[in-house]
Amino acid sequence: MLKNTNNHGSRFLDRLSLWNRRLNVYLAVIGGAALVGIMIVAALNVALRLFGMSFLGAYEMVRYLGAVAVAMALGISQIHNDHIMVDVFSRKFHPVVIRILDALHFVITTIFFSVAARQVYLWGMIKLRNKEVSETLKIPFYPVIFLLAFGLAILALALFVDFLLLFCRREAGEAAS
Amino acid sequence: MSGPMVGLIGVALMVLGIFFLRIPAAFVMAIAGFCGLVFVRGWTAALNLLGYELWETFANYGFTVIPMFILLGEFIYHAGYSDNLYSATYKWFGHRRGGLAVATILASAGFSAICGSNTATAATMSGVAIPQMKKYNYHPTLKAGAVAAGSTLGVMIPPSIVLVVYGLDRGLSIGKLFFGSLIPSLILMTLMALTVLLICRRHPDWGPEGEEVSWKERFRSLPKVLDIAVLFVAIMVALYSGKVTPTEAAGVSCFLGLVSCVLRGKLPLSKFRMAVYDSLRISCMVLMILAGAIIFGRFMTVTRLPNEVALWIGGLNWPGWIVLAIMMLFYAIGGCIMDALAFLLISLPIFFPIVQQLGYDPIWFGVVVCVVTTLGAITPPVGICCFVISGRSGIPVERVFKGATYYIPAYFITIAIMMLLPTITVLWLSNMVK
Repeated sequence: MLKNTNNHGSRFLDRLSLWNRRLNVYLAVIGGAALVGIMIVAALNVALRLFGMSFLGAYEMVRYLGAVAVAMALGISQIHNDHIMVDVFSRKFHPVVIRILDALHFVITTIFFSVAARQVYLWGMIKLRNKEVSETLKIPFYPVIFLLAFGLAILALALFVDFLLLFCRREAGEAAS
Repeated sequence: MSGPMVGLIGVALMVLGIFFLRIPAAFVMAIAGFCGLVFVRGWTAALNLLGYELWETFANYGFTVIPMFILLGEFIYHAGYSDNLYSATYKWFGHRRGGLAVATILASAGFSAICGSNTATAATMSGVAIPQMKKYNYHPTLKAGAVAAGSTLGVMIPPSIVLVVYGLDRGLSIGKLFFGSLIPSLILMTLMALTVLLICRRHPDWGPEGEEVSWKERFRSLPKVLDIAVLFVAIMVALYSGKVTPTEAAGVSCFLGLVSCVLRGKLPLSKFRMAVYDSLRISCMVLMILAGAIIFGRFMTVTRLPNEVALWIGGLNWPGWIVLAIMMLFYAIGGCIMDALAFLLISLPIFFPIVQQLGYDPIWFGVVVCVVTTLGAITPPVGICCFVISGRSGIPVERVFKGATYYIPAYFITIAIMMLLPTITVLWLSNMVK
């Protein structure tokens, strides 16, 4: 019975991990499009200037596209462990200590980025309530702030999935031994 | 508890967190900065600042220069321009003893003129140069060392991501930093090439002579690397003129790079996708470090620790060069144990006010620090470039580290020249930028 429950738990985690990865790949597609968008807007702006024309709002567009690009890549960079970590000393620790430290790392960072997502969301709500618009294009930019909050929440989710997987791997290891 | 003392405890906890908690440096900086702000200013102020700073960092127009330069480098990398570069330099220098190793360093410099990352340069050049040197029975230590040393030029020669981040973090002109790093890069590159010749003089069997190529062939190889030269010149001229922002210069060169890759049929859709995907991930990593450093920097400002340290050091009445030498020692050690970019951003809030207090030029200091921290990419235990080369070529990492050791004097000589002749090496060119 216990074994069965463990199997269900493991299957759920596998699915959760898969969904997490898929979701982040889709978000990376949006982020990639935003990245290419920055290039096009920046190049077009310079090209138009050469012909004496101006691209109104290019500055703002680049800003918002930059925010979208990074927000949408936060989760995928966590999945790929792209962030710089210094393990010169910690890699010599006992495997149990490493596992405990990793668990601590995932708990702390999940909480921190959840708080960060909430704060960015609240910042966006202030802009929404005040009906603030961008200086040149006169468009509301709170949706971009909400996208950043969403990206941070997805990063927190990716860290939480890593935390769960850490225990799943532990159980799998114990079962094997 | 006084503000500077809180700051000092914050720095100590951050360092402990980075080295022992296995949390990425970017996250540790952000968390330590946030917790410090909670302690000093209270929950409400710290929470409000967190939301505001994250938005302002990720939606910062100036910071979009980073993904643009990364994307340009990725286009060139995935399009395989490195083959042309290597082939051209090989035709010019390959017939001499150790010529292939010299060609590797020069081709790395050429690749670095577009790609601002040393790991990308290391990965590319190990795939291109090591098989060629193996073909001509080059000694593994020489070939691995040449690729390792050459790859560090990736963050020295403009457009360098480290210099871009330094400039953005300290509010300095990226154009001035790029122009300021030109002569030191040339000095370092020349010294590296001379190191190869000296090694081959001592161990003639390490770098046998390659095939002699006719002058006609040599000149015929040059148009194939013209695209890269044009892109490099376009970036530098645009930044020199001051008529475009760094983001615009990067955006235009990125667009031109893409057009050139597509027209030459070097970038099919699959490679384009990979280039964009990789750029997105690297940009996210770099901007996350920047966000962490900014939050930590706010905490440092609130505690007034950097100002107090600067005043304290100023009061010691030590000659400026001694303080600078101690700082450089910190950077050299720091570069050995962690990534150059992360260490730079951690240390700058404390070291930069000291440098200003001592009256050193921030552009010159940035270029010097870039050279010093770059050295860390080829020295143990972190030596990221050596691990990349070992992974790509199968040469044991100890041998790669050994090979790279031969080039360490080249760095020290470059740093010494920069310290003795700051105007000629850095400031002369950087001051020309409008």
